[in-house]
Amino acid sequence: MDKISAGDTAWVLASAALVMIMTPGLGFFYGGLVRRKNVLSTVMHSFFILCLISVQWVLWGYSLAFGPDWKGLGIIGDLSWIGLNGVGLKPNADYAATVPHQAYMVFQLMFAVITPALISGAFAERKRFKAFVLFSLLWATFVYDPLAHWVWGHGGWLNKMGALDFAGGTVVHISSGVSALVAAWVLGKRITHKPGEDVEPHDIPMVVLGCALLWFGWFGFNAGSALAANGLAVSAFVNTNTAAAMAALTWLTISWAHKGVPSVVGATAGAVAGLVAITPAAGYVTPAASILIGLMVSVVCYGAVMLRDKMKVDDALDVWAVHGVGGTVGALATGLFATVAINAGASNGLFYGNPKQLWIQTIAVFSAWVFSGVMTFLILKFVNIFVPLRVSENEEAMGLDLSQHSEVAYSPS
Amino acid sequence: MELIASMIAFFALVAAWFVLPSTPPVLQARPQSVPEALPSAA
Repeated sequence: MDKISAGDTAWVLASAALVMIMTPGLGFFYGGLVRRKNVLSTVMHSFFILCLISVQWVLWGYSLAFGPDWKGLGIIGDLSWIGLNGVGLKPNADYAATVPHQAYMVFQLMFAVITPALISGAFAERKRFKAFVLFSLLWATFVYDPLAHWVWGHGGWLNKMGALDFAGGTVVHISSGVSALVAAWVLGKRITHKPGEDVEPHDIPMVVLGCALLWFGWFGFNAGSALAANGLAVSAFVNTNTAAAMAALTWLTISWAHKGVPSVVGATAGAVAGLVAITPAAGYVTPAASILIGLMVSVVCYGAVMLRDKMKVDDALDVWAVHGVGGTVGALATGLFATVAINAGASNGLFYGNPKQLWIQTIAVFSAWVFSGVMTFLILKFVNIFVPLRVSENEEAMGLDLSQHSEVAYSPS
Repeated sequence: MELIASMIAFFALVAAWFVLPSTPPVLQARPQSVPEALPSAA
């Protein structure tokens, strides 16, 4: 039987807690970016999903994502671990040989929580709360859980193919980013958002606070994905910080050159883009490569923001441009920069003599784009049969805080 | 037994979300021409 390591278990549990705080942090990040009449509804999206998926994951989500492969197809787990049946305190060597299986389960739970929360930035300021609730539950079950199985599940088809995704570039960021684009397109534009008009963030210090919480939690997200308190975790930790910093510096510089001012919101967007891009690569690349990844992702994502403007899709908080495109950059960069000098259990990338890895990464990226995009479209259409996706024009004009929750964020008294 | 009960409890909540009102009662009472309650920062 595998022996439990106290150090590894402590690190994985601490990492789970770090990743947990990312979701309320995301709520603050998004909440500061919207108008003051929609801040509560935006924060509520993240907080509600934390609660919803925490129960869904225990009941059936973990089994679908990480349970024994159903019929050996590599598509989804079976339901034998439903309700955490058989997921106990002994390690499962298929996933983490030195920590209790439930510690691994709860670490993965936090990833399942934040992923649908990321999408909420695309439909901010106009989605009906009830529709959001049903969409989130269905999306977690029919998009996140299968995709996690493909990439990370024992027997998943992309896992068997050798796709590298250290902490969720495809599973978390491409899936949420592409789904965000589809959701923004299906819901349509905000009626209160005039074409070409910027919606000014109502609280930029809140945005910075949210970004800081995300960055802090991302150490658990990436370094925790080593699943042990070891050198690989340290490598992922260093790469995470380095890429985030370089991406923030790059975005700031681009926006300074483009718009003439060093934007605070731009710096936070750059940091998040860097964190997104290093996510799939964190445990496979050198610190120097993480600097290059940080540089690349800000250039590409800044361009994606401008492209999104031209596409006339009202992805309110640029989830696609930062997470969808940033995750794609990171996943492909992993196929370029990965080296067994950092992670002996992985593969080299193109720059270390293995062009096949870049091809595998491309397949993983393409599959995640198509699957999450199509499924999100179908789920939204299905939800719309039962609940209108959007609030009424009056409710949107009033603001979602009052129209959906009968509460206001800031009392006038 | 506990698993079945917990499933029923969770799905009872999901079912409740279907039937509970989408709009707060105070707004259902006056759905027309609701004034903007808070100034926009934009």
